[in-house]
Amino acid sequence: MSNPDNNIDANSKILDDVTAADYKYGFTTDIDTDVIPRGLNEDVVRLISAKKNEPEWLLDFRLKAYRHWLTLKQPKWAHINIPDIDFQAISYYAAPVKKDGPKSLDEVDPQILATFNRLGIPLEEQKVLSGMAVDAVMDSVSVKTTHRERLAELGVIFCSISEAVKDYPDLVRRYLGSVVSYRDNFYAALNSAVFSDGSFVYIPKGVRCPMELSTYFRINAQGTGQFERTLIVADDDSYVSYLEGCTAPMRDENQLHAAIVEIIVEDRAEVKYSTVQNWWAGDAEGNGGVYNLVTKRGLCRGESSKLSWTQVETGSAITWKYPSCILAGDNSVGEFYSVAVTRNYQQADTGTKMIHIGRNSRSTIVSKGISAGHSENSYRGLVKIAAKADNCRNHTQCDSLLLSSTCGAHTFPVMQIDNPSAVVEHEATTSKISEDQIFYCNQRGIPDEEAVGLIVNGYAKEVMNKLPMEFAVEAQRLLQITLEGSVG
Amino acid sequence: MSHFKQFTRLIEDYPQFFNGDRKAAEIESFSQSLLADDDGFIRRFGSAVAEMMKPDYGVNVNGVTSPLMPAAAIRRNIPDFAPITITCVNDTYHIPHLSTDQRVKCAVYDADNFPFPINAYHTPSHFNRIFANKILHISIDGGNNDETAIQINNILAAAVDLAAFRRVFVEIGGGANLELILNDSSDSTPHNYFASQFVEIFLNEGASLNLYDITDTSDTTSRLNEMKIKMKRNCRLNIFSLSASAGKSVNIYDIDFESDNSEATINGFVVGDGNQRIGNATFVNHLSRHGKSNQNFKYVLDDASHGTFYGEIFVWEVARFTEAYQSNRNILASPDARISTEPQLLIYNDDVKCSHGATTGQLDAAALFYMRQRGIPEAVARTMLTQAFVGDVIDAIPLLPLRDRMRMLVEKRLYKRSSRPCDNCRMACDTINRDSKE
Repeated sequence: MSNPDNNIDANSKILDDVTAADYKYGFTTDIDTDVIPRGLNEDVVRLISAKKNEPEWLLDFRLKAYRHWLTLKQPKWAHINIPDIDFQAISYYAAPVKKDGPKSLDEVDPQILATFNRLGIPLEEQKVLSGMAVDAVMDSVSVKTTHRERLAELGVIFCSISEAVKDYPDLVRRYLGSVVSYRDNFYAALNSAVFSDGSFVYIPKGVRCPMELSTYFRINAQGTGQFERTLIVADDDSYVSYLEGCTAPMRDENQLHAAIVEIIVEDRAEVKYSTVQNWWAGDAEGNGGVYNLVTKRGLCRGESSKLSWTQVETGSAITWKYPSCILAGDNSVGEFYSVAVTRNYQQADTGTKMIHIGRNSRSTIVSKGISAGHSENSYRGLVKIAAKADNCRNHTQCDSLLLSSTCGAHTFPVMQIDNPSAVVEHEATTSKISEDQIFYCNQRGIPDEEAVGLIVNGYAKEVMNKLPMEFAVEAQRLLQITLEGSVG
Repeated sequence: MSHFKQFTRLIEDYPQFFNGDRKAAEIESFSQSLLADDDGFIRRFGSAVAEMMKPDYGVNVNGVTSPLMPAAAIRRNIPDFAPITITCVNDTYHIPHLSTDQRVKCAVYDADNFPFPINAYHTPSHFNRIFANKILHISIDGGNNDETAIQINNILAAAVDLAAFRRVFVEIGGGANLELILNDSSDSTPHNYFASQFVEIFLNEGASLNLYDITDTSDTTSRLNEMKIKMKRNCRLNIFSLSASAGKSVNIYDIDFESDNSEATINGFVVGDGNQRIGNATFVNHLSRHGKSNQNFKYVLDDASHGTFYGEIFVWEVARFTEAYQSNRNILASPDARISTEPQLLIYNDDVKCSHGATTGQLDAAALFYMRQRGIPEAVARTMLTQAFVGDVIDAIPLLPLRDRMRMLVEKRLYKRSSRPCDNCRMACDTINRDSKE
């Protein structure tokens, strides 16, 4: 890990230049600044709220969260070596320079478009060909939203959370913080206090969302943390598939990302949430990289509701992420499919929690860890069957594949079963790619590296199959690229 | 410190029994280990320990000797099996006279005069170290492959609520084979007993050990037990953790593979009912190459009993070619029974084969139906299936007389619950009937 003090020195100059102007007017009143000074206090929380023209209740929510956050300590229980983060050295708000709202793609900053293209996300092509509605988030504020009209016809709301606060305050107020309370954990409290922007999705009763909703996140301005907040509400009998892709460009500084995703699934509704996460993981010596400390949780409130998490994690220096399902409704279903790849000095502690409260609820967990280099890859999972949850079923499978003798692969499952009618199974294996498999491929003219890619993709196939088609291709390519050069 | 409050208060109230540098260091290390809770002991077993600590126990700080109870001791012997029998009444060890040329040496030391370091690893052993004033030392000379069998009968009997502290130190010489049976039993009395036990075992090169840890006590007995085993090269270790009946019981089995090419298996079963709290924790540390370990734990929990299982396999970077397996299977037989299981793998090396599995469920409904169709009452059918469920652990016991005894013990215990009348039973329950009058 790089010494954060050096970074602070290097960056303080730049940031001083940027923020010097602000101080002239006193930063509490200047709402047009793009980056607010580093540090966190009540004034900063008020400033963020003021910048976004938020109503009183949201400011109260933020302040309550902030005051609660002050009482908490950075959690240390995960199997990761996380340096003490100086939360006063981070700027909590950054917005791209505001221009007049773009009406078409031509009006979008060509530099931003170029970055997206370099990342392999051709926005214009997607708009035309894939029929996806893209709500691209560049450092906290929505830059572009498409297909809004078509979704509006069906009554689907898909917009940034700050817009939603203005346009649908009742909905947001009703659901915000109802699954992940600001008291939930350290990072959730921090996010609740300073969340910048994110997506809001509401699918009305009986509506099957005709397209995959997707958001691309990217970290842009230097020295700013990004605090996304996503809120998805699927009303009775509705269906939505939501894609989240994270990519971040190369940079030298550790960046903090503490997001919250909340999902509410009502009666007979289904939500599918897919993630491909490829943020900068630091260089080969383990310097830099993104700290991805995320709280994701869904509440299957309705009867026969279903929530499915699929994630492909290849990036970030540190991943701390447990997409969870609270299966409160009878007959509700929770699923978790995950592939986590770590290499160099990456550390991942990821898994899920399945909390069975409703009768006949079922859950499936499939977790595939791949570790290479000096990385640490842990699966941490909880399956809890409440005393009144009769006839629950869980199957957990977590496999680890080791690609070097210096990496670590760990599993920390916890099963708490308070009802005798539950059937809970857990199995885990740890192994390396066998020499026989490589030899077989070599015999057929496939070089080592390609063979490993082939075997790894086969190993992860069970999860990849759960991804939407467009994503699956991207994710498969990502796996191959990630493992390049990591086979010893 | 709240979990061990009555004992920490004892230390404060009677400092005359806990003075000296050694005690001070031990008390300090105990409070450190409680505070840090690095191994998660308090996090996982804290509630069981809190239940254990509810009665107000007396502690034998003056070192009063408990007399040998021959009748009780004989009743605990296993038919057709003649080991060297050591009887421990509360915390007093009664050793038989051994001829001087025997390869087996048993002695009881005062903790102050003990010639070996008095180690402690997890919270229970830190706790034990403060209060255990006598140490039973067993050493087996190496050099030939003769089998030695030692049975230690731990008997708790007192007219008051009592806490007993036992400590055993075993050295097994190179190439020696030892069958070590630790048989914990207490008569069902209205008194509450608490036993803290720490067993430390060293296996020298090529040694082999079968360790049987039998708990067959009453509902009013609590037990906090830790076993630390260190193995050198080419050792074989089999642990059988047999909890047929235990009030509140927590066992820790911590095994170090210090040198290459050793093997260890831990087989365990728990049959819990009533208000019992039974926890098992295993720490298998692969510190060297070519180690093999296999763990198999089975729980059957009835009534309002709670079970906890924590299994940790730690494979270090140097421990290449390790094979480590773990399985934990549980049956919850009543709506109030609870199980919490944490099978954990920590692996720092790629040339390993490791797996763990855990399941929780019920008896097979189809099998039950099949048996009832054939006229077997449901309660009996359940018992038979349960018996079969824990049967593979019992079948793995290599010592034939003990296997028979364990089978009987479990059968008796299970049938006591079912409607099958004891009168028609042809099992020789008399020999093991702990409810009978002395």
